[in-house]
Amino acid sequence: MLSYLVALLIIAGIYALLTISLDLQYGFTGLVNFGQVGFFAVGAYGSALVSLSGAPIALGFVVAILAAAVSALPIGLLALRLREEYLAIITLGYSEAVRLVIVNETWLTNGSQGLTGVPRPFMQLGEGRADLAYLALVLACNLAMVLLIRRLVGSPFGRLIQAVRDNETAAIALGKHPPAAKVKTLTIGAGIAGLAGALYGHYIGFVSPDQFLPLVTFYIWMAMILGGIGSLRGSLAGAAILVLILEGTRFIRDFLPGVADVQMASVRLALVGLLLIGFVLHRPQGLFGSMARR
Amino acid sequence: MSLMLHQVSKTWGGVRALCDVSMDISFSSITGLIGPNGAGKSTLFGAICGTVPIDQGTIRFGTQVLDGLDPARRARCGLLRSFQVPRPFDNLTVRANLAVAARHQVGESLANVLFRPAYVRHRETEISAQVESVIATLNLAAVADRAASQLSGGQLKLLEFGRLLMADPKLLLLDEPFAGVNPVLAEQIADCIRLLNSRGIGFFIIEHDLRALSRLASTLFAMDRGAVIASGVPDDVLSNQQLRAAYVGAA
Repeated sequence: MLSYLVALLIIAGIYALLTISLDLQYGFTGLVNFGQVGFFAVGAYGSALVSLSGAPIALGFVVAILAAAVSALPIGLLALRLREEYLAIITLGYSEAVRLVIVNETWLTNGSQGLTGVPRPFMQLGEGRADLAYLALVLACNLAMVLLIRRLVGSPFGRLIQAVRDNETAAIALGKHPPAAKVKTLTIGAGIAGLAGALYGHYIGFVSPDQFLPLVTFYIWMAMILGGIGSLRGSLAGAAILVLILEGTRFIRDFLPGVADVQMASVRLALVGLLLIGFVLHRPQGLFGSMARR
Repeated sequence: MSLMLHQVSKTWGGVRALCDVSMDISFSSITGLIGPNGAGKSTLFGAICGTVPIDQGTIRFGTQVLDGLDPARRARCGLLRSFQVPRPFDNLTVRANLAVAARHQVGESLANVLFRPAYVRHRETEISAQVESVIATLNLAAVADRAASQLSGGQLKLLEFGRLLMADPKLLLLDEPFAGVNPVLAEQIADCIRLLNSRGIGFFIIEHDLRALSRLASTLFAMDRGAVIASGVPDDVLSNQQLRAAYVGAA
């Protein structure tokens, strides 16, 4: 039971990183990023490949962050001069392109078979303690990133990105250059998603393209909306609720006899959707949100 | 120093929106721009600010030739505009709305935020002093910590005006500053314009309220169908027959 709880917390912590990074991009800058899973995948594969080649895991983490951030740069430069709807399409396309490259470039990624044996840190401590140590690492990463984002958002830079989010035309008329600010938050957010990817790969021990479907992006959006857009506390809570919902719906099988396993997956998704609709109807600003009209 | 337009022309799909417009607008005075709807006044503002690309002519701002500069660069030269409908940063407080408009934002650089916090703090102290003085000038103290989304229409007009002041302007282009404003607030805005003009900021104002404008401006330009049809002191321009004809539509 304890190990199940630790596993849940680790997964929730990884989703929390993804959610705060999306909140930096959408909640604070207004970037409609529908491709967060792409940066997550680049981080997971980047770190897995580096550590499987024999390099230290820590180096894998650094590569994961940098690779994800660098992969965001061209998208930013291409898309941020266009209207926000285009960024949504381009990022969605980007994340699917990343997944297809992983499926097809078999020499590097082992294709749809995936990479197995991604090393797990702290194993010398023994099974149970290794999990706890890993949880501590995930929490430390969350703490560091929350502090970083709070620092950014509370600074004049944060004031600028929020102004750009609220009214880009007015920001330009005051002499601001919105594309530069947007590229920066897109890149920083991508780096944080890359870190989440590394944490995920080394925890599960196995990475494959099936883990990086667009559905993951929408789970992250769901967590952010549940928690409250533009609130870091909300993002953390939203990620926790998301994992509770995803895991909790596993147990409904016990209450629904006579439903086949295949159908169960669909029933579960439908239930997740209903919960989301119900929640948003009841509390449109999310748990901790305070955002006025957009 | 002045804003100089030399034979500026713009065609929108066959319609001549601006036709050989030449003007000289001093940074030290208040200049008005009048004309019936569709005369090309807002197009002219767009051309000056760089949001409407012109087909022909040159625009100079002091010694700077503006051709090819994007709107943000023109704003940084000290050429700023307001919008007919205010465009606030809804989720920022009044203070933050003003602060974001200040010049020399060393804290907008990530490197400075992360590695030179003392430098950023020092500049922020200066900016907040400037913010407080603008708040006092515009009587916004009571709502200074509210989000802009909670302000009334009149307060938003003042906030937008305040944001322009923060940006260290040489010449402010105001698009209908008195439209939809109650008489008390209109008087307050007019007083602010006079006060700031006496401190050395130039104004170029589009306004349909001819009485309010002629009391404020020392020079008027009148436009009709994309061309300047009269200019000079307000009384002369307002008695111009061609302009009267343009307003009644009998030309």
